[in-house]
Amino acid sequence: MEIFLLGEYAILVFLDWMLGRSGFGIPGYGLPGGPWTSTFVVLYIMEWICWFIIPIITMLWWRAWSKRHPDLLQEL
Amino acid sequence: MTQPGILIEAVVIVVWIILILGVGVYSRRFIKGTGEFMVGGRAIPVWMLGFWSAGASVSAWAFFGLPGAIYAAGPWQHWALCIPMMTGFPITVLFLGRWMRIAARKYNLMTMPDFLGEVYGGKLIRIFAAIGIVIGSIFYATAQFKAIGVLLSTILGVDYITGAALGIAISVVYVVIGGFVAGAIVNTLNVSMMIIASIIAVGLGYMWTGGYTNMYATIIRSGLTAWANQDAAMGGRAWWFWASWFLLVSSFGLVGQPQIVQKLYGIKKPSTLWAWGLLGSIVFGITCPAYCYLGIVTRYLTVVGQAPNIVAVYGSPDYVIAWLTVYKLGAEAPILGGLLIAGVISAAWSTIDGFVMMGGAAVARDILNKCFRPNWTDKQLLKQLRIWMLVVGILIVIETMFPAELITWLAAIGWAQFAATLAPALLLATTWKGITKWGGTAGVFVGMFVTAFLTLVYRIPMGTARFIATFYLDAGAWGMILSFITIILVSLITKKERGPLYYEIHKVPQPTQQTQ
Repeated sequence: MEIFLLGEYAILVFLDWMLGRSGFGIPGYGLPGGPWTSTFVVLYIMEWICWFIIPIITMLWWRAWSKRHPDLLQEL
Repeated sequence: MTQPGILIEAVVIVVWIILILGVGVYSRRFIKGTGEFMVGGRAIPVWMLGFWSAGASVSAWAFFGLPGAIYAAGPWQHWALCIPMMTGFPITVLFLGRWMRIAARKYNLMTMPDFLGEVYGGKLIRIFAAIGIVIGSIFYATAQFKAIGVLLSTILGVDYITGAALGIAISVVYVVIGGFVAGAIVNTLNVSMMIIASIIAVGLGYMWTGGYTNMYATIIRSGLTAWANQDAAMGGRAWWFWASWFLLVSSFGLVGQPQIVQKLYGIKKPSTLWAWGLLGSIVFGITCPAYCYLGIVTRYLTVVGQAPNIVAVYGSPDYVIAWLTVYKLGAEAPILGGLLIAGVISAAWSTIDGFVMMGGAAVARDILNKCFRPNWTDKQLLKQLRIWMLVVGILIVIETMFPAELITWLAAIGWAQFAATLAPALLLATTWKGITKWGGTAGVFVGMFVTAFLTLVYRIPMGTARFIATFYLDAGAWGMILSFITIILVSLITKKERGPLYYEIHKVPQPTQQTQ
């Protein structure tokens, strides 16, 4: 299910599925039996982390932090 | 060039260019001194700066060079160069942004060497940082101009030199006249255009290829298995290249990109920095992958015989987007083609102005004014800024007229140079109490020198093909690693001298004998 929350390319994979075209984009690589440094496992997970975890989670956390510490955001 | 579709595309581009020039000229009324010229009087709304920073990071590298490089060498470059850059915006806010912004007014910070100078202290760190910025600016801006040159020459049916000269002339007019305010307004328009163009690009690509999985399956069936596999691409070196850029140069390296990070000085309210990080990241994440996708789409079109082999026909993969927008869309959907071309030109312009300003400021402000002519009046400094921007512009023009490399490599070299010169010293400035003046100075020098050395000495005499086998675009990763090590080692063994901002950041009492 996590595939639905991946980045732009994964959305295209999802669109493929909706249109009845099965597959994960680049076939085989990174799937069981393939090299782990290749495309599917490393790259799609990386895309998910770079798209959602780091920008959205960290910046919303920073926003909450800045509201708790307005004194630290005053001009020196 | 005789097709009516291409004429329609040309009209769309001309209208766009007139709009951009008009904004540049209009913005002149806001420029009253260096404060407005360099950082827009620190009163620009955060969303405009988020857009501008995203545009500056995407650039013609991602919109033009990267699709070509992906067409030629494989889609792994999308995940090595493009995706990790998204993380650079939040990383910048988390590690550096607050201090850059809240210290800006008190210390009159306008450039990255300003910040380094006030934290570490001393003149040499400013000079080394400024030299690194000038080197990086020339390579990176050349990539942008080359992209505009290739595109305008294709659509207008003129030679490359004429197309490039036209692009340069337009940029110089609006940057030198309008400064930061012009950049902020123009780039809001530019990035809006880039977002529209990206969404159109993905939709078209999906329709042409019959789906994402089908696109790859068709390419791989044609025999391009190594092209599609990160483990096998580039003779097996793509994996190492991906790791060095993902972990260092693209992500943490963004902290050292003055064309992106310097915009933080212009933000109106420090409490809105999170919006800059989020907007920059998301806009980048929408636009960059879209054009990378077009590189894969064009590969598919070549495989199925709907496109020529771009490298064989034009002699360079840099013509991938030019072919796609001018010849394929010019025939099928010229208005959409015009919008996509405007998106590419916008991406280039949103970066060029930053580089011309950075390069000029590095010499006029960071070296001449701060180190040798501290008594210049604001008017004198503004005049010198404009003069040195023109000088840097001329160097870029010379490099543009005789471009030795692919667009994506030129931009990557510039990016790596900034990352290695500035990022380690900036990251440690706010996170490690142990830094010293000489540690920072040595680290900036090592980062700047190692990257320039590997780039220039290893690259030019040996040529691109052999360089792939050695250091190619990993020069920035080596520079960053050695710079980090140098700052730590030298700081541990040298006298604990620092600049005044260090004591505010680390809440350490300032010694009475302290000198800058």
